[in-house]
Amino acid sequence: MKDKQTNPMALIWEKPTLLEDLAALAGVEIPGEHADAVRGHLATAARMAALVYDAPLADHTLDAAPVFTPADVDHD
Amino acid sequence: MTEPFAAVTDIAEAVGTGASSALSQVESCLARVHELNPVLNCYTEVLAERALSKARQVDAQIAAGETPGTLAGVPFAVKNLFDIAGITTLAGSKINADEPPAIRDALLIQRLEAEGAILLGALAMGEYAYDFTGENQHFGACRNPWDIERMSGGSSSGSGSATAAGLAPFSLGSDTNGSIRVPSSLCGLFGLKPTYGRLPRTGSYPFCDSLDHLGPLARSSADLAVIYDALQGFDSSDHACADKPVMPASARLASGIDTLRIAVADGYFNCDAFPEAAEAVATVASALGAKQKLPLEGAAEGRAAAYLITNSEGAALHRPRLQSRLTDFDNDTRDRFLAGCLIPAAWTLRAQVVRRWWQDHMLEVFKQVDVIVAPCTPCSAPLLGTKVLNVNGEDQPLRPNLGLFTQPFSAIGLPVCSVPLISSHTQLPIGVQLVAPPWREDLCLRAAHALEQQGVVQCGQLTVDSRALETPPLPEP
Repeated sequence: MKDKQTNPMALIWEKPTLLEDLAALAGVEIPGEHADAVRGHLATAARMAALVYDAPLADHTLDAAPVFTPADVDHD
Repeated sequence: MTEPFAAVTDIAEAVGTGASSALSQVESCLARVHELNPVLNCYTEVLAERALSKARQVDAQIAAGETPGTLAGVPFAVKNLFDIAGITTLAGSKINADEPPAIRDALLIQRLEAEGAILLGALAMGEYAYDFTGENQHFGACRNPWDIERMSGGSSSGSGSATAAGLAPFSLGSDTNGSIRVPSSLCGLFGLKPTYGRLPRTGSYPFCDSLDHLGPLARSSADLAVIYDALQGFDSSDHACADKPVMPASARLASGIDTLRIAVADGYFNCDAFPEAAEAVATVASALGAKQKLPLEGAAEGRAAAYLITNSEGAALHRPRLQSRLTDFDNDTRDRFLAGCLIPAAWTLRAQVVRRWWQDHMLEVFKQVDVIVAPCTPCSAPLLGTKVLNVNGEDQPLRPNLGLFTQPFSAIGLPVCSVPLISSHTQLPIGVQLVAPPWREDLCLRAAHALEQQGVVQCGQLTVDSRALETPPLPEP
């Protein structure tokens, strides 16, 4: 995830109204004085997203895994 | 025997044999809470009447010849996200203060009291557990008894501060990304985050369901083990709780480490840039004879996955409050939850896949080793108000990065015991993580016990005298 096409949060700094639009879509309001802090957290999240997208997953691990359970294995 | 730093096992034995009484234990603890809590700010509610009543009940049962429990007469306290009958479950928030009182105690409190332990009160925490610092805009910072101008760590801040200062022989906390281990590290305690699904969360306020764990903080590995044994057992009310047989750890504690294969986490966990953490890891590794270094590739991605899942799940949980009580949040948690509302779902789903991938990798690693030594926090307790941590030459926000090394392991639910050392750089505590395979809490506790027997790790006995302390003002939020 190296560019804006796959990192939409890069735009959040360039288009001031984008944060408001996203917030409206999500059904929350972001007070103006907190907008930059929220942008900062989104930038961190975007860096984390870049990491998970760059993880060298093997094909067999690409199945969706929305529910986490600890491994049910024996360790002797 | 009412020493503030007496071992849980010693208190229970003294009360059980009549050498001491539950009432004297509770009275002693309450007096210390009365003296020191105004300085430390670690209790949010002290349940003196309830504790004294329960103590008399325990003493009466013992006098009547009933078998004392394994925790007979041992006072304890819980992070204020555990339900306590008759008081409101705050979860560190101003918003929850408007909720009605809990109807019954959380299941883990019930289990401890069934063994004779006595609940003293509720403890401070970061708002909605989204915190590693122990600072809280609504209730003030919980102070570190080693230096009251420093952070206790969070989000189980009161659990760390109260247990380290002898205001409770042990406590319960929760750990989503490190919230038992971080305060254990900064306050110099033993902390156990069991396997995800081992202990039922019934009657506790959630943060991030797929990552939330509960566990104890205590002053020795033996204390941790006996408390953990009392906490174990399946409960169908928590969908994540695994229907596994109880696996007592106390009986295995002294089995030694001769047969254990122990290695050191490297790669992402290399902490040469953090001298306090590096020294602590080297000391523990040397004492355990751990020479092999494991690259643990995938840890950074695993940590990133946990970050995204936490942010998304936490925001989803609190969206109704963000809509209706926006100005009543702590600034720091509000802004992070708001950001979490805007994260694309695809990121979170990818994070779940990566989480499974990281888990698969670690299960392969655990075919070769039994215990992994890793740093806990990058540094000893920072000063209250600190906002920045230098990570590999780059200034980054302190708040999320105190969990830099804890987050990858809780991301995949591994059991971890944090053990305390004193840094020669700061003369303050710092922890080291001992990480075991799923469901093998006994292994990390064994390693912790071996280190304790060698004198490599231990809790200090703090002298905190409120009369000598003038509480310094808190920094501006």
